[in-house]
Amino acid sequence: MDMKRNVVLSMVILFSAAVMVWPAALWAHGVVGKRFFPETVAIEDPFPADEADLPAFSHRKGPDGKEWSIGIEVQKRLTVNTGLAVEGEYMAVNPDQAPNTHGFANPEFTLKYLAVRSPDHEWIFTPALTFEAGGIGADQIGAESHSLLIPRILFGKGFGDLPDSLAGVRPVALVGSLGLSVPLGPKEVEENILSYGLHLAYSFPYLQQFVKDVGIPFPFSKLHPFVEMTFETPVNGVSKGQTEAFARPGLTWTGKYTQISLEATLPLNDRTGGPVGVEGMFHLYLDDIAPGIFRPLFGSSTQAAPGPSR
Amino acid sequence: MKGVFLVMSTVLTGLGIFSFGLISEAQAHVFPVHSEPKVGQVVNTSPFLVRIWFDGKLEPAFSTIEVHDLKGARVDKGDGRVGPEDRTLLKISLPSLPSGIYRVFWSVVSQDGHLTEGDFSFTIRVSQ
Repeated sequence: MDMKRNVVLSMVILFSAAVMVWPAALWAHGVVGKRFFPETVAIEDPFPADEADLPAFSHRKGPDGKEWSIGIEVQKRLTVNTGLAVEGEYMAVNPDQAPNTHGFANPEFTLKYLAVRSPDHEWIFTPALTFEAGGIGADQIGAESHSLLIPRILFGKGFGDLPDSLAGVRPVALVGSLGLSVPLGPKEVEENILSYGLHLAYSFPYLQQFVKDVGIPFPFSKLHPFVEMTFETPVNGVSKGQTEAFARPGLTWTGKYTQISLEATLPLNDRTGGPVGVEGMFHLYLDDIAPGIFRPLFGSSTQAAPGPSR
Repeated sequence: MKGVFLVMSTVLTGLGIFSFGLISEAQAHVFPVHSEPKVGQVVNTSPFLVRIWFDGKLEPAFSTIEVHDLKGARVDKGDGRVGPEDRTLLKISLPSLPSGIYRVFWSVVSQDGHLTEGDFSFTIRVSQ
């Protein structure tokens, strides 16, 4: 177990180091036509990009106690439309009825391919596959001993193509995720969980740049108020049908090279706990910070996924 | 446990500061900061120029601007250009235009090659 853990952790560190120093070009993180989509917080982001969460954090009081976490995610484009993300997280759990404990969660590796990009309709579609490496994280914080595969479909849609009569709605954008976890373990741990979520945001920059300059001053002109809704529903096993649901209202501020996001975590039913939690991240657009370094490893840096052009 | 979080926070903060250190000489996508006429503005007289200021320097050879009327006909003087006194400014001259709604189409490339493009409208409502 220890050797396996060390090997995987070493791979994570080596991959992260390679991303930071690999020589490289450029294509837009999160840009489709006129639309810039900021990184989502709680749901998987549909864009392959050279980016990093340094760090992401969360605090929540669940039904059984308090949880804290601090994590890092680094994503690297393999081609202009293909990205590989590595995510690590350190958690602390303060159970109500047991001693405090802490440790690393299982690392996650996500491969995503941007299959459709429509600049005219500010629309993208991205299949993705996440592998959670079981048996690496600490048992005491609930890291599973078996691995998971999570195929997902991700999409992003901006509403800049609405008619003039609905111009006020054009700054709205929607990002969605739908995935199903598949355990890679013995039969007794077999439980498939359907996870789905939406991220609905209103872009002040889009409003001022393309719809109407209403005079919002800097730094407020860079805000994106949003709400995320996340759901997890076991589709079999002992918890079948027992959905955990959260509403996550928040604010994102986007600078030229960085993004700061903060959201409240509001449980929507008894299974998700009581008081409000908080989640956030400090995000770096590596491909904008150093485009000569953070570029796709292979192929052209500017050839986008198929779709209508402007 | 608090010690672990303290160490991690310190390391991550250091990385963040290091990353900011990279920023001073970096380039990125450029987006409009403001324009004259303003996005969606109604003006009482035909402007002589449309000017858009961006949040970074532009590559003149690959940055364009056009102004069209509602029928799609181009109405500008065809002299769209960057600066040259200000490399963040994209501008184009206009003839005297009648009342109507006009749409500005721009496409710019930052100095490091990032492309961004967009459009916006303004309205001329000449007083009688």
